[in-house]
Amino acid sequence: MLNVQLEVRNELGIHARVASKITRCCQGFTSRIEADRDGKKLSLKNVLNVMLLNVKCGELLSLTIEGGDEADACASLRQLFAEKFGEK
Amino acid sequence: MIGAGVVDGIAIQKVFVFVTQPGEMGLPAPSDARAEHARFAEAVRLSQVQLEQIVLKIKRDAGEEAAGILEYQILILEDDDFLGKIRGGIEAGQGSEAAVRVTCTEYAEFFRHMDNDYLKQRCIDILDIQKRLLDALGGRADLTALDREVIVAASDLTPSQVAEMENAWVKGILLENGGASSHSIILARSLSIPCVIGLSGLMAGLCGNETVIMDGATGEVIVEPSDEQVRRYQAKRAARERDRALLRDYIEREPVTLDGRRVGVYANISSQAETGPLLAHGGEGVGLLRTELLYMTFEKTPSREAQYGVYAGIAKALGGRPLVVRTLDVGGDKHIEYLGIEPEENPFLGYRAIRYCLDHPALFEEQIAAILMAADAGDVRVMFPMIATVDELLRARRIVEHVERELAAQGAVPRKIPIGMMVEVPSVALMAEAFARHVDFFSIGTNDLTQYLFAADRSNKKVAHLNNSFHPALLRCVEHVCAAACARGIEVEICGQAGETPELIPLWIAMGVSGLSVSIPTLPLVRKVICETDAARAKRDLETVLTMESAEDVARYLHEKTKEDQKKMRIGNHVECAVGSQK
Repeated sequence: MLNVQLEVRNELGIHARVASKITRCCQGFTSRIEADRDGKKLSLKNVLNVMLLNVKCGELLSLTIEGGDEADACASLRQLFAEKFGEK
Repeated sequence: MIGAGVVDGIAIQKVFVFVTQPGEMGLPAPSDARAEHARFAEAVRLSQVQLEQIVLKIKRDAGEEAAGILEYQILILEDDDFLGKIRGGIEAGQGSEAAVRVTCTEYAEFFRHMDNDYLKQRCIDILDIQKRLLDALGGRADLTALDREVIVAASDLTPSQVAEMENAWVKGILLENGGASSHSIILARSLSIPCVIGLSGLMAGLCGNETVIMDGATGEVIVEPSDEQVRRYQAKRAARERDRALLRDYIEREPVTLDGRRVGVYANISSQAETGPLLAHGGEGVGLLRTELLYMTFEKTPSREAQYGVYAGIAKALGGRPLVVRTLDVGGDKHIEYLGIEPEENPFLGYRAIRYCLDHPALFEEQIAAILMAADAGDVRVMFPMIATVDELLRARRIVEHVERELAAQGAVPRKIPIGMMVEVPSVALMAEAFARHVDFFSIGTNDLTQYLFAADRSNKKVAHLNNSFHPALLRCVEHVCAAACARGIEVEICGQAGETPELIPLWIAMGVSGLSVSIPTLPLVRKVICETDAARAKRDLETVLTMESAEDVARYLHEKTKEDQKKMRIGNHVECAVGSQK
């Protein structure tokens, strides 16, 4: 199981198109990928969860990744966040 | 794409994809959660297909970026938490629509209460998805709520769904299957809505809102046509409208033959929605109200009051013009689930129409009572279908008398109404004199009479060709019935397809029919043919064709007569022109 913190660095924060990209990325792996909100685990494979996390530019997202391909999933997500989801 | 064109007319319009509910296609209404889950899953799948196709189109036209919000919506339809909540609602006994509404409202509220203006606005995607899912779940609200002109595409439509299209918005109907109920097509025809059926692959290929050209005469359907194709079909449509306009004069003109015989021109209908088009096309009343549709739209036998409402409503809409109500003609190709009639080897020769009704007096009496009560609202008449023996007719008449007495006992003395019968079984045609003693009118159902006469199922393609209404056997049969009616002084009408066949109309007039009951769109043409008929000459033609041996001989003879007449008329016009120019 991996615990990672990723910073949202694009100007607009997580909006619909970004949420779609995160969700699609997570759906590519078999591992569970979850964020914690108010003590509840929310799967990032569900786009509405990603949206409702309400993460703005400069904020951190704490994730738990668990499963056979957790390392790959973690690397892909790191890259996606580092590239600011292809935005400014 | 090409299908079977069943109702003539050209439409060029945006398409409206209408997904029907299983409960509406004659299948049992989904009372168990499993069926409801399946229905919801299908709505999700359809919504995804629609969105994916829109995304493809936007990407092509406007680039990758623009499609972003719709790709997000596609992901919402894959969101397990979101779908899970809806499925939970269904599991708890909610219908799909209710479960979708509850869950979408919940999510929309989440968004609305965010501290982030952008996210607040995103509740709109949830509402969009809600609308798309509800649309995909079908529901009658969609057709009645139309606010733009469309061509409706569906896998199949029930008669009641077609009846709801009696508004200016539906310009055409495309059906993937079609023919599940021939009633739907009969209705579309009455409402003059062009219709093409049997379009396999139709629903999977459409996402809604494409422009479509359809031609109900040829069965051609073009999705996203070129400008050139649109222009070509607009020209074609204009030409057909000019042809129709030529017939319009006859709507006002009294249907009288050249030698002064007055012939009644009525229409066959199944719903009140058709009375408007009937009057607009020059119908002088209803020669046949099929009551099966009324029974089909209910989940159980409609009450006396419900039936009264329909019959009286139609009678009022006709404003004193005659309304012939045919009692329930169930069986054959018309199936009504709740009546529990078992499937038969030969349904057309089986337990149907009056045979069923006489065995179920409670059901029959309710209908008779409703018809008698509606007589206050206009010129209402009653007619029994599928009578084969005098005994059946007398039993049916006794039931009418019984209901009359019952109503009178309750203080509502009903008006005496004319009682008639369909002539559609050969035994009746042969014994017409005997039957004529016991009724006020005959209505000859040539469709069934033909198939029983030639022992050829009209829905069986391999033998349907035997059912030819030009055949001397049918002509002799009808002639015999008309002679018996005339001798007794009762009215006789024709209410089958043969009644609207232009070449045959003069023969029916020569035989002495008092009226023709036809489909609504053909009313103007039928009136024109009557006005151009010389009854005395038709009588001579009738004598000639009755001696012939085959349908082909009769058709050839009548066809050549028509050609000669047209030539004579053209020459006549030339002479008139020549005379006119000399003045």
